[in-house]
Amino acid sequence: MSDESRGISRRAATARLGALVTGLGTAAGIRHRVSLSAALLEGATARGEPDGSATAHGERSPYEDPKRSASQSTSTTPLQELHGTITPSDLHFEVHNSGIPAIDPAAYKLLLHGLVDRPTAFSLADLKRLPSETRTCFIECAGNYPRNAPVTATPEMMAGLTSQSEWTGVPLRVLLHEVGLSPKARWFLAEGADRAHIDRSIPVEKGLDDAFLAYAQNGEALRPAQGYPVRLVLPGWEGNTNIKWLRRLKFAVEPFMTRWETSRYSDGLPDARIRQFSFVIDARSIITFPAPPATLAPGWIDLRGIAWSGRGRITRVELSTDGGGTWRDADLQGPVLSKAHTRFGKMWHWDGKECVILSRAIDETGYVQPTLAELRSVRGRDTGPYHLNPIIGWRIPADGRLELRQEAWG
Amino acid sequence: MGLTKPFRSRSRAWGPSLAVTGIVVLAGCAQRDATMYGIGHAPSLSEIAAWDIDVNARGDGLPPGGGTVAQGAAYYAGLCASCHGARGEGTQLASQLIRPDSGSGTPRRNIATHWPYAPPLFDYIRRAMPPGASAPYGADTIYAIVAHLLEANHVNVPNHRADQSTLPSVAMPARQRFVVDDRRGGHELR
Repeated sequence: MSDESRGISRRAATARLGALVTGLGTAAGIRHRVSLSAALLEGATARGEPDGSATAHGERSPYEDPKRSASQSTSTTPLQELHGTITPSDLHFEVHNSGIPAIDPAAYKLLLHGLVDRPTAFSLADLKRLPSETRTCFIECAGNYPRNAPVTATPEMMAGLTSQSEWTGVPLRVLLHEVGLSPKARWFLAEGADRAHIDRSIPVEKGLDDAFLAYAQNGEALRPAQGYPVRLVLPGWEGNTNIKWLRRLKFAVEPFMTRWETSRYSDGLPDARIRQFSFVIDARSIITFPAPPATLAPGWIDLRGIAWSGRGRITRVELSTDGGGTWRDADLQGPVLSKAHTRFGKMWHWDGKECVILSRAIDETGYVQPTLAELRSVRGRDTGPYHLNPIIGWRIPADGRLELRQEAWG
Repeated sequence: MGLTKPFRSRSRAWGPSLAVTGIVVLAGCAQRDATMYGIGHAPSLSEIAAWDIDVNARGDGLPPGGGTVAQGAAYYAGLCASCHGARGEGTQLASQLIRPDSGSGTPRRNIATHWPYAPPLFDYIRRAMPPGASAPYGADTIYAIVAHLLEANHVNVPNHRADQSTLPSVAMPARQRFVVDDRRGGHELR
């Protein structure tokens, strides 16, 4: 590539960026963009790399390699590497309490029975014939908070068991109308086709509200890891209730008291009480940029992250850059959706002096994300690992190497 | 058998609002879209029976059969101990089942502390155990294991035997601990 064309490339890139930033699409900008492409193509060919021809499946740039951290049954979303509010489908977090079944969509069946007028089995094709809706909402594991994490912890380690997709599927209320839900029915058992047939009891009220059976994720079929071919989506409710590889809904008067909602997903309270059916994910936020493992240089930076609440919309996110001494509102990226990850941000000038940056979320009910001390004071010593949503942040020492700022569990 | 507070408070909390909501929403459905699409097929009784595997808190769904504590101890040693520990204390591989006697181990969530009803023990072992196999244990085997686990947790098992008719009435020490979440967000923190 000639010096001249290389020079044009740099100027073209700068001009293009400038044009994009100012929102001006000038003819000169378009000319420079064509020059840039040609120069890149020429450069790439000169280096012996594949040319940019069209393909059946798009790939990321070789310079980009975001990935989940995976153990045998769990993987976490690399929140610090992502933008916007949609989690790429191959980076959606996973918690598989009994593996990932391989289901043939042609053989798939969903059974609705119990307190209904007409027990009915639906094929996948049946479900796709029914009215569909599309909703963007998060899913979060109730256990998405590690106590006493190392100082090197990243947003992924602190909150990576949450992701957001645009889900498409059948509203459950449509199915309940089809099968004739009995007025006596107050609960239903939702059961999966995985090996352990993981199952949860869900109040019928949620079924009639915003519950839906999703068969698509970000425009295409669900991934097997997210429950292919059909999963239950209960917007705002803890991940375990969003049963994957859904095979059966059984309607009844009382909850079934499955293992998952008694000995597992329940929360210790003071005085030896145990809170059960704590379905809703409480409001939470996390700064994803700047965040570990990054090193920050002084100067202006867009301080940003995501906030969410299982009770509805985020109405405010407050930021502190002095460890909680003072707070100011961040800007929210619209449209702000209910029960969905919401982007917040604020331009901030770091002066190079050590500080602690924090965020806290407020949702439409008026609920304010608490400190860990506040949370522990109401939940008691033995609350267990679930529904912990305390304020956390990052310490920025003078050398800019961000570290976790987390209250000690004690 | 009267079911205790968790059921009643859930009914009270959900009942009136559910009745109102249900009527409003169903009526709304009827007004918006009264069409019945007739999609899906009526399953045969055997289709339903093949999947209708749940046993609820009251014991509905428990099959005929039974087993003794002594039988269960032997089954446990052969089938369960390798993952759950010889004394049910739990290992890296599997959860604690039996509350350790004080001083002998760290208590975690176990049958004594976190199971409010006995029949779902049958339910969970049948549908999920062992991991990696599909429901290989017969009903008698499972009743026996449940009987052993209950007695090892100092739960009274009448005649040292669990079966279809007696399991639902076993009184579980954890039952009184459970309360239903009644938070609604807002300014309260609980």
